[in-house]
Amino acid sequence: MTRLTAAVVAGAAFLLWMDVGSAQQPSSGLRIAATTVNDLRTWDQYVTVQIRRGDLQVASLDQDPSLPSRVVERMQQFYQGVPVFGAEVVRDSQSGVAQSIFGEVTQIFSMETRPALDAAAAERAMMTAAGAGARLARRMELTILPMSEGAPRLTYSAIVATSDNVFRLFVDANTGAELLRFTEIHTQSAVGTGQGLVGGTKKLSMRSQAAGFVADDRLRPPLLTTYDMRGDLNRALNVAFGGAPLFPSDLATDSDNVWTDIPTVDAHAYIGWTYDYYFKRHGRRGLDNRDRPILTLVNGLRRENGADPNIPDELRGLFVTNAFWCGACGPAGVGLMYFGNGFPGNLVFQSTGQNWGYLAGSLDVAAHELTHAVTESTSNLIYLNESGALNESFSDIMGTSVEFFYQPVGAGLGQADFVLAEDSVRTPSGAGLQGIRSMVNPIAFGDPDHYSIRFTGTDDNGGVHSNCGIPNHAFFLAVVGGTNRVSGQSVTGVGIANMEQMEKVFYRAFTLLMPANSTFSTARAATIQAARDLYGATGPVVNAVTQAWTAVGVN
Amino acid sequence: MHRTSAAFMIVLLGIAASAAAQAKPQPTPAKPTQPTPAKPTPAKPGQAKPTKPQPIDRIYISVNGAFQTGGNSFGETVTFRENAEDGRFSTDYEVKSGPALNISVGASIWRNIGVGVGVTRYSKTTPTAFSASVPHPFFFNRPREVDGEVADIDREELAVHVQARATFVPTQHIQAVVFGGPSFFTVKQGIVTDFEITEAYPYDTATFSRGITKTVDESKIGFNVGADVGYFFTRQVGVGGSVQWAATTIDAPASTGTGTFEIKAGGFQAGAGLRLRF
Repeated sequence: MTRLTAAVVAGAAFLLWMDVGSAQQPSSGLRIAATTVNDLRTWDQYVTVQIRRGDLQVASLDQDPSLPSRVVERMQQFYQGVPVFGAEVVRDSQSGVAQSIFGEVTQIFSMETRPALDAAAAERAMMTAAGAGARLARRMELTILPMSEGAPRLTYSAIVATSDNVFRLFVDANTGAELLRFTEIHTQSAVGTGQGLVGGTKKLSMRSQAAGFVADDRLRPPLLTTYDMRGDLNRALNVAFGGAPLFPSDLATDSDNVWTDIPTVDAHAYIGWTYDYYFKRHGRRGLDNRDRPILTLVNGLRRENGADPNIPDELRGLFVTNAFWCGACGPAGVGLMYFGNGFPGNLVFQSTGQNWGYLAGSLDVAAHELTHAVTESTSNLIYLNESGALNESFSDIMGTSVEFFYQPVGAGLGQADFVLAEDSVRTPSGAGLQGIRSMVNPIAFGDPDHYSIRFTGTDDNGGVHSNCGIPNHAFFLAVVGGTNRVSGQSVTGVGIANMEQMEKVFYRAFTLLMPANSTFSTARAATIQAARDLYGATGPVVNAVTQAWTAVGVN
Repeated sequence: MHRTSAAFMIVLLGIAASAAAQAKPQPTPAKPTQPTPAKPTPAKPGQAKPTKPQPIDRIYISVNGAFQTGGNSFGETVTFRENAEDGRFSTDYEVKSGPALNISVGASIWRNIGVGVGVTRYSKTTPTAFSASVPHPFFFNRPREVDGEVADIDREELAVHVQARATFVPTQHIQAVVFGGPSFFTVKQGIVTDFEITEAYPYDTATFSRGITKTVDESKIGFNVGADVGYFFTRQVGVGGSVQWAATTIDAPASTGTGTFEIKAGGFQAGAGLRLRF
């Protein structure tokens, strides 16, 4: 291409950037959702030009096993060589021809990218902001942080671990002032306790050794191990957040391979099942599609000690009534899963009347947490605001899908439904609300079921565990069909028998097509495009997805 | 089985005794008081010439190339424990028809009654059909079905037949023998004791890789009964054919080491070959 032609294209792209087809321009950035021929032609040229300028750099190339002919490029936005946090463009191509382009990029016309603080000073500022005992869990890097109001800021960003948390922290690269932090521990809401655990004998893939058996799955491709903290909360804290090493003696053990420790049994089995689901349904090899090790901690605190008054509430919320995936936790930041054991069966939360039992006992909880790891290695939806709610929602959707993959449909224990954690979080009598979230009726748990009533505060990273009710309900409507409570709009779902179609649509959109800072609107466009890609431009699947998003008020 | 063999012995000895009675020489007629001219009486047309009893040689040898028919196919189903669940495998051992070698020697001990001993050897290598239901390593009640064929399963039968024999010599060229008695079978049978499969994650399917075999070597008494007809070109050498039923059922130790399963041995044999008598 001649320099003149390049200039023309660049100029055209700039103009297109300002006003293109389906593109919208929020105050802080530019949203791309190109799926039509005309939009694709112009945005494809834009992407090509940006790549040549170095403003977009290909971060990954993936193939979707469902569409082997497609190649999905995930591109990170840079400005003068500095990455723009969460700003990505995802281009799906077939034989070099773009089929869809989604993106959230930030407009930066002029910005100084030389920081006033050097790295050492920035780290000191970061440690001061994080508090005593903090350490860097991941390398610090210079990052441009788009702001909800005002111009983007040049920052230092890192994942920081403290004694009881792991979070991403941004400090101003010129002043050292903290600009943003949000937790990197992807948890399920911890609002109650449950009783009961799904019975039935499960097979466990263990490893034999001289003196018995250890929870080390040698049959599945990745390293899949379950470590028993044996009720030593300090040890669990040190391993999870302090980077303390794990030893073979930490592995859960049993003398005769007939395991009786409930959290070990369920965590080990369900994580294996979830790995299997991803492999069989989506052709995915584990968390990062490269069989990243899956380490799981159980028994950080014994169930009978869950209500021990000496345990700080923040630790109780994290290690008792909670399960979490933390990609930066564990020895050398390898990432790990943790399942809390809940409270003794006679203790219920006054607000809900629910008891929280073993979190590992719910298949959808295990699948939910592992899906956070999948998200982290794919779209890496930022765990904040709408992208954070989408992150949570995708975990709920996959958690539910795993249930339907293995369990018979029903509302009882050990049965597949659209309620999260219902096997662990229950009322002692069995009456009233079971579980922690409903995709059928999110409002039953106080979660919004329509965009118009979304949570707009800052708590819970912008309501990630609440606003996920909106895409959750959209998924439910797209599968089962029904009418949204707020809009009154009806959706014709594909039916439970065809749920696999919707699983693949959402999987493709959420892992391949969506950028890190996606909004609900981006998710709508991406899932519709995924439905077109997989099942044709017209038909019941595309219709169901489109109607579902419209019904929940996302356009 | 012992009782059956004894019964056959009794029946055959009875037949032999009856045949011996028929072959008994007639009493010598009394001399005439008056000498009768030794004038030959011409035979009337159509009147048969009296049969002259043929002498029975003491030793009779037959060497046969024989053909043993099938019908002894058998099977075994074995239950085993794998992946914390019971699985099973089944093998169908087909004992096909095949060539056998049969040699027997008989000796006359009293008139046309005699005893004999014969040896039959049958050997065949046949593939064996194999099927198995192998438990899944991750889930209960989701067995993987595999099937295949185990090649080169050897079967060898060696039977020693002790026989009571009755011999008939209707002409100087023809000699017939009926016989029966106990048979002592030794069977070497290859059996599948274990197997290997090829499987890979996610282990929802598996393919049969190979069978692991061993040879069981068992002996048992059975019975034999049969008949032999020889045509002699010369006084001592001829050819002949025989049919024989010799069989038994052996309880062989099961592949798992506990219990037994039945192996049928022998069967119907038809053969032809050299005949010698002395």
